[in-house]
Amino acid sequence: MMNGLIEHLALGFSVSFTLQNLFLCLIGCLTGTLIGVLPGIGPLATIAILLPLTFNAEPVGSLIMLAGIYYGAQYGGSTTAILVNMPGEASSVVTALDGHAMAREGRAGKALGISAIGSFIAGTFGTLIIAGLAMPLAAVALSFTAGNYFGLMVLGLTLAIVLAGGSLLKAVCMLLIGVVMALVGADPLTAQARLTFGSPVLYDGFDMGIVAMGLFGITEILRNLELREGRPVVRTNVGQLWPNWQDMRQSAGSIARGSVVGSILGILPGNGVILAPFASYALEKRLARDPSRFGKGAIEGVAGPESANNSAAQSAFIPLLTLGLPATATMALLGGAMTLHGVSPSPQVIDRHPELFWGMVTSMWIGNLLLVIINLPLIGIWVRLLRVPYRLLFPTIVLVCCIGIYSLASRPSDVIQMGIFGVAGYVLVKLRLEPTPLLLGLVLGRLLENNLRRGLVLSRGDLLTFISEPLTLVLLLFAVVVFVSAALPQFARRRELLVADD
Amino acid sequence: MGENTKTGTNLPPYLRIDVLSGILVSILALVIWFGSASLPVGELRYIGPGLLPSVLSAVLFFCGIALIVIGLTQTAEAERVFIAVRGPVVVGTAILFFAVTIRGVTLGPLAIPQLGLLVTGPLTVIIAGMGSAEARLRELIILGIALTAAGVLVFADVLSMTVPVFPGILESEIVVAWGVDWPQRIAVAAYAVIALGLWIVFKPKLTGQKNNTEEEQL
Repeated sequence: MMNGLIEHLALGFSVSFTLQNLFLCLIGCLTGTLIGVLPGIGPLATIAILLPLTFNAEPVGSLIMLAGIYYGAQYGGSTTAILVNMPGEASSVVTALDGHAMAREGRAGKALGISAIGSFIAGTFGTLIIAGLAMPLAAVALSFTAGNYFGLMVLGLTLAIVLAGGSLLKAVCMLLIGVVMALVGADPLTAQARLTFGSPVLYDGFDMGIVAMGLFGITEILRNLELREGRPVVRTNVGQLWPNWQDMRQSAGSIARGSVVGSILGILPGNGVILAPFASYALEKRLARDPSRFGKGAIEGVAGPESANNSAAQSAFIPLLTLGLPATATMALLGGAMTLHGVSPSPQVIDRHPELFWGMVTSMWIGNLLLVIINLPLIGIWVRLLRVPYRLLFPTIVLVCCIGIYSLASRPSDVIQMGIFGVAGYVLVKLRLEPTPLLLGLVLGRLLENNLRRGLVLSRGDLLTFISEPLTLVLLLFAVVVFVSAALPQFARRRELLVADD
Repeated sequence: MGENTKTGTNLPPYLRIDVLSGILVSILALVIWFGSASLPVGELRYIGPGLLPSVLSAVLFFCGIALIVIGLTQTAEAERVFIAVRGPVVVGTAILFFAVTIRGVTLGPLAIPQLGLLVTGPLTVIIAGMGSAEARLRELIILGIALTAAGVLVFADVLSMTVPVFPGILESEIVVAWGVDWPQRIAVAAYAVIALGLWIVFKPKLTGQKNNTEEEQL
């Protein structure tokens, strides 16, 4: 087992340590941080915007680059949270509490430093967890029947909408719309045009990249536009970058605990990545000798949540890479990108494309290392970038999105689609209909229908036989229990408090 | 945004978030149902392409109705909807403009010529930029030209993506003799020089404005 693991990791490093892939990883981390640093743009929007950049490389390279963008975006979000107290995404809200307090005291550098070190340690831990869990989990998943898969997907989607926060009913609506959107286009069996309303553009179905860029990239811009621009006060006095020995000793425990908490929560469908920093913060506050320091610049309050955030971001890959089921919208986007490269996420990926799988896993570690190395010296650039006014930033992003989408297939209709989804996404958000479940539905819809069809063919059209497979039954029952308990009033109130943003 | 103080029970139904989202969802459900009604549903043993869309549209419709009912019966927790018009309309227009002019399209009797990135780029930036209440035309012109130069360099030259660079009329004139790369690079250099020149010319005005806003903040 152990030998096998080392062998696999060696194979992985032989792929990810080529000059080209290292370069792609570096570019991914850099561009990811670049966009992720911009206030109000979370990891999901960042990946959506940068997706077209990765399509030129071969599959392994482009996935390595995408993963790099993902970490870069996460890291960029924390930088913004610490420097300007404007968390770009829900998962760095907690970082802003103590991180920004540290920045006000002129200790921004230490906050950024400890967050980078903590993230690296947690990322290493998360990578090892993936490497260790992937093989056994994929082996289990390989024995799944179509019915089991259907059950698992229903459970995953249920958990995703239950944990996403906001109105449950609205989340269900968005999920259903997403699933229906996935069905638009040629029927996979009969090639009949479905729901195309006679339009040849829709015959190929909705492209996830375009939908995501509209719903998350453009929508995000429209949402930020209506906020009157209060010029963010950027702390220019960053102070000493490297935490000293005492800081390290103080935060070592927090980093360790954060890594463990994060990697467990990250596997959960829905928003484990968002829950993780909150959980870690609460834990650190409870364990602290003097809890009153929290919120006033406690270094543990940055180290713990940042580590948790990063290890969760890492272990969120597990369901996607081993079961082929994306647990969060971000993973759905990455899964979609894999499919575009002809490697659809499934338990078979490890066996069929070992170089791709292990290359990607090891590049995650390299990506985390690169972030520590490149980002601390580049802090000055990020600070300067944060001072660019939004009125100049957003037309830039619009143009980049337009060129990016157009260059994918040279189809003007793709650009128009992106615009329509951008405006539609804005209206949806204004109506408190969060588009995140829609993206999950869009990615999983086809798979859901295929497994339902296959399962029903195998059980000769008997719905009872289909459902009564023991594992399918358990999974479906569990989904029902989760859903019903979430709908109960006492849980419903607590759920509404969770922020729905990935 | 605070001029309308109506909240809770006083809020008319057509301004309530939940009522409006319910209506939107129900309409979508009806559209889906309408679109899938003609598709064969098949049987359980071999389900047809129409089964899932029809079933899902029915569920969706009930969810939409439920949302409307919830919205109508809300008392204190009813929320008013606020939707800005300027941003979405202007940015949407910019994107549409990019789509129809980058390569040019023929829409029935209307033939829109190819403007290429060199013309479409700056105009898209300027139009989109107008979506902000704080837009300043001079800034946007410089930004548009500079960004276009960078865009041609990165996307067309370095990443060699297929984006039309020159307007249709110009393209037919030059490409043959000079090859593909050099005309692009010359255009990039020219744009960079223009952007820099404009920046120097406008600089007193731009920095003047900038100082004003910074003072406002302080």
